[in-house]
Amino acid sequence: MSWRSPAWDVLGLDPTTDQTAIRRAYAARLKTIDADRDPEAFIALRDAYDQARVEATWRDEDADYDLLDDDTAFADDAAPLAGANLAPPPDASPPAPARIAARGPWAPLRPEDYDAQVGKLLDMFDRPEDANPWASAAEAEAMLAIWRVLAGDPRLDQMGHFADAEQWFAGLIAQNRPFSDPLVRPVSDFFGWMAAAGEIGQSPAVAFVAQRRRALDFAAALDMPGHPLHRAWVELATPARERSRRGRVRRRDIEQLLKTVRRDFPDLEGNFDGYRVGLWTSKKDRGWVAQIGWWFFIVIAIQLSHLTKCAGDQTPPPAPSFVSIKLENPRVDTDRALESLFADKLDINIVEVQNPDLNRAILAQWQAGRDAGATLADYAESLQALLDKRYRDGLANASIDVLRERQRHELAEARLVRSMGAKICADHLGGETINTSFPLPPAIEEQRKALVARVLLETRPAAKPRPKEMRFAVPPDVIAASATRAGIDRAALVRALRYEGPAEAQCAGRIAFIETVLALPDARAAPLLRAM
Amino acid sequence: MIIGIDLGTTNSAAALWRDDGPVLIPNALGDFLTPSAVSVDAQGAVIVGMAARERQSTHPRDTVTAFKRYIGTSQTVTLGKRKFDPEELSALVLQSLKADAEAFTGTQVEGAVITVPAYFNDRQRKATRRAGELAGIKVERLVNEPTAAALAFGVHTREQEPFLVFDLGGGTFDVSIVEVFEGIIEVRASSGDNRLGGEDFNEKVVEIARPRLEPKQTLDKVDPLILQELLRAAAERTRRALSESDTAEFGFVHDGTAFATTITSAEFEEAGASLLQRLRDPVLRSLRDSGIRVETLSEIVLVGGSTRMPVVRRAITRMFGRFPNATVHPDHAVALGAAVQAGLLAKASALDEVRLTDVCPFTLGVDHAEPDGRGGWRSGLFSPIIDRNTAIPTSRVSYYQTLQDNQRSIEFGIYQGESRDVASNVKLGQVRLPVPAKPAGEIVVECRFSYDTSGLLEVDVSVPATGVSRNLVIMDEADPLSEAQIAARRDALAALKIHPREESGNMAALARATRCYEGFIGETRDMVGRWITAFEAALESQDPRRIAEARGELIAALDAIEGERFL
Repeated sequence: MSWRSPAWDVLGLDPTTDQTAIRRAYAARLKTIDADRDPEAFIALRDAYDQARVEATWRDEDADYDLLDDDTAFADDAAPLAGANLAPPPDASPPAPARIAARGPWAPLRPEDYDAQVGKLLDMFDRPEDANPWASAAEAEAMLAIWRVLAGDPRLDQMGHFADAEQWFAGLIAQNRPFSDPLVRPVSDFFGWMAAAGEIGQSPAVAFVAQRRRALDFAAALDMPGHPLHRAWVELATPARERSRRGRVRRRDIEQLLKTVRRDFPDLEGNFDGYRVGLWTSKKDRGWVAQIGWWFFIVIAIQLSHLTKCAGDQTPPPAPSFVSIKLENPRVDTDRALESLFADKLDINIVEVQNPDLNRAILAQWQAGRDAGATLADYAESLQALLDKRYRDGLANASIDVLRERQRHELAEARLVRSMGAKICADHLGGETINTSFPLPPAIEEQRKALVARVLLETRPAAKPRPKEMRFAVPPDVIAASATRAGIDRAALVRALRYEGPAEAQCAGRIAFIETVLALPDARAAPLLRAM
Repeated sequence: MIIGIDLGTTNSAAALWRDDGPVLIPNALGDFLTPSAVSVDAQGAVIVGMAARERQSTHPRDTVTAFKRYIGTSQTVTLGKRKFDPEELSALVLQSLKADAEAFTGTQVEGAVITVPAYFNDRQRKATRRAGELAGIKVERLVNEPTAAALAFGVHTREQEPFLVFDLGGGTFDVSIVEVFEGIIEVRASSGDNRLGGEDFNEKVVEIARPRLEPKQTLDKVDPLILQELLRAAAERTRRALSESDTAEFGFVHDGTAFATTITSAEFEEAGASLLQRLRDPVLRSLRDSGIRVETLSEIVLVGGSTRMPVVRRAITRMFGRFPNATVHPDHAVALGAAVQAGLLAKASALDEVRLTDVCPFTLGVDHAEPDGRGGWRSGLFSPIIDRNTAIPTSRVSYYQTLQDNQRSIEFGIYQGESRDVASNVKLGQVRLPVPAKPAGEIVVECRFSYDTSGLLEVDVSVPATGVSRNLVIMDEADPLSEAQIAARRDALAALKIHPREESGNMAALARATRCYEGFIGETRDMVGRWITAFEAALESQDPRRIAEARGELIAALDAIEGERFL
């Protein structure tokens, strides 16, 4: 016995494809309930009715996705206007030549003439695959001429015809983008698509064309030299072979343009040259580990060049390419890897003494690497990942001092970032990725490495991880002090801590907050530092 | 007894269900239509109905009409020494209709079904309900006007293929597509325009005529309020005259000077073209939402006084490619339909096999944020929970997640409208719910909207993880009145001195005569003056028969000079 949906039980029917029967059952049931006193009964019945109707169409193999009995829903497919609405077809016999000559340009058009124009339009759109996707000026002219004729069709007064024509044109334009661009403006004006542009009930084709219209209007605005983002637009749209204006365009404008286009006008991104965009955008910041990764390889490269330049009695054999160095000795390999990651802050000897557990973990990693036949480069990468994880875990269980140091580091970084602009500062503090095209000064880098090293050395994975503090409740006097320090009022500070409000306030508020917390005695600072 | 009331912008009417059909209730003047007008006399006593309407030309500062356009807003008007808000004004009209019904049937009116335009939003509906309460009437149900008309049209048929109700009244325009099967009257889709009606056509006439009036200096010196009313009344007359002939005179008299010009039907049509264009959008939307094609519509039913205009009829014929059905009386259909609904509520036996299912014309939902595809969030977007044209009562659920780590609470703004950005929609209320602090996206919140037949929206939000929930019945944010406050306002309204019903015939006649007196010049004016004196003498005699006779004479005389009065 196959499963049947409960809808049929509610209606008291066996599953059927007969829409009339379903309707009758619904009617009968409806008369037995009082929708005002018992809304739930009505809701259940109505849902069952809708469900049953839909199911009936599935079961009916010959049905063509109609949810309503005889009524066909408005179709988005590009059916030509030649439909049931037309006047009866002309005589089968061709009109006598005399009559054709009598029709001059002043004669009113007949429905057949309009349909002929539609045919012409369809022919224009029927192009080979490899044709230029964009319409030429001549083609645009032709399209507009045909459109002007079609817009004058008196049959458009009728709602039915109007609605069909609307859907048909929307479908035609949407499916033939960007060739149909010349038609977008006049057609959307005629049907008034922009007036209802933001609405949720619009058909997908119409919404698509409305969106395209907005994109085209925006592009036209960008083309004007007075527009603030004009230069950025020109820069990104120029093909890669031509000269870049990299020096004369502000990075901020490029970013603003990309952000706006990506968010609001995604199809304009096709106008950009991919290579150019790639030049201007940088990789996502994966944290300190990724930054150090770059330096790692650069440092190794420099070391290699040192090795090769080293002349003298003991000419060491040319060091093989780093990538293919096999893992030989755990201590030596690890040392090399750690040196690049932490310079002199951390090396295997220190680790062995201070944090045997970490030492074991590292050795296990090396062993695994060696067994897998990894090269030094792979090992270095896996070591990065391991240390990264331990660092994060370590922070959760770290001592107050370490947490303080971390906040001090954050503060230093924040102050530095603040000098670059409030917005960047707010984004950075909010944890969003920042543009890493500016390198952090060496002092901050050193501090960072030292901090990480310290965390790694000092913390061990606790048997029971300390429960993560769920509450982040800030005592009111801390808030007050931070607010005073930042020079903003309390409410603004609270908002800043929630990453809301103007960028300057967020930036100043956050920095002041860190400073205030750092100034507190251990007992009070502990819960805050842990949660920050 | 439950009656049905059509509370219109220009005119109101009441009806009741009797045995096997709805019956209109006449007012004290014997008319089925009562103008929605309120006026205040020199002593501060309130006048409602025809007399008030007549006083609009003579005492424009003390009279107000078309207050339905402001219902749901906090706009007030000062008449005499007192401020009135639209609810109170509507309540006065409702009271007068209630009195008419009680006089007609001899029984108490306990409750009423009141009609509202289908496209009235939540605030406007609540305000209409409050108006009923202020009038001391229990509002059993609010029914959409085109649905009521469909009821009147289709109550005696058992099967009817989908038909379209085209309701163009004094101030609002509604479209509904309705179907009848097995005696069940089901609304398939509803749409409309709240700011489109006969009044807008009047304004177009004024636009044409005003520049042509001479002499201009005299015109500019006239008090703007009075001038506005004179122009409007003249435009109304002209508009009606154009229904009958191709040219009509636009004119009025003020302070002894007569201003006049001529307007042709063609000019009117041209000026009204933009308004006629606006008629198309709601029709298109309803057709699209219901999925019904124009060819399959069985009828186009015309409702509302403004559908009498030839320009509108022509536009409709062009729109649908066929002649509309004008068999239903356009002014009475809505009241009759309301009476049918009253009968349904009272479980009248003749309506045993009849049921009505209506839809909610607006989309209801909350605001939310969506990922913008680049790792960021776009907030202030509308998330529909109940789609428009869903059969009511209905209940729908949607699920939402937290956006940020350690988010403390989640707040939903509740909106009604069709735009993708909530800023363009109507905000109905909001509800806030605390959530446990978890990483973003881990907490799921369930939001349930329940919409009942009275148009009351109930919102239930809950967090399945913690079991915390909040329930909100959407109250009007602007004016959360308590029971006590409503009672107080009702008493205040009841304490107003209102001219008794019995007097309304005499008052209307007198007001009309006064208006005519001011509206004519020369000999005719003198004649009217004499008639007024004669009538006032009859009133002083306090002899009811003599008064009735004198009134009849006066009305006949006035009819002779200005044609029968119209509503």
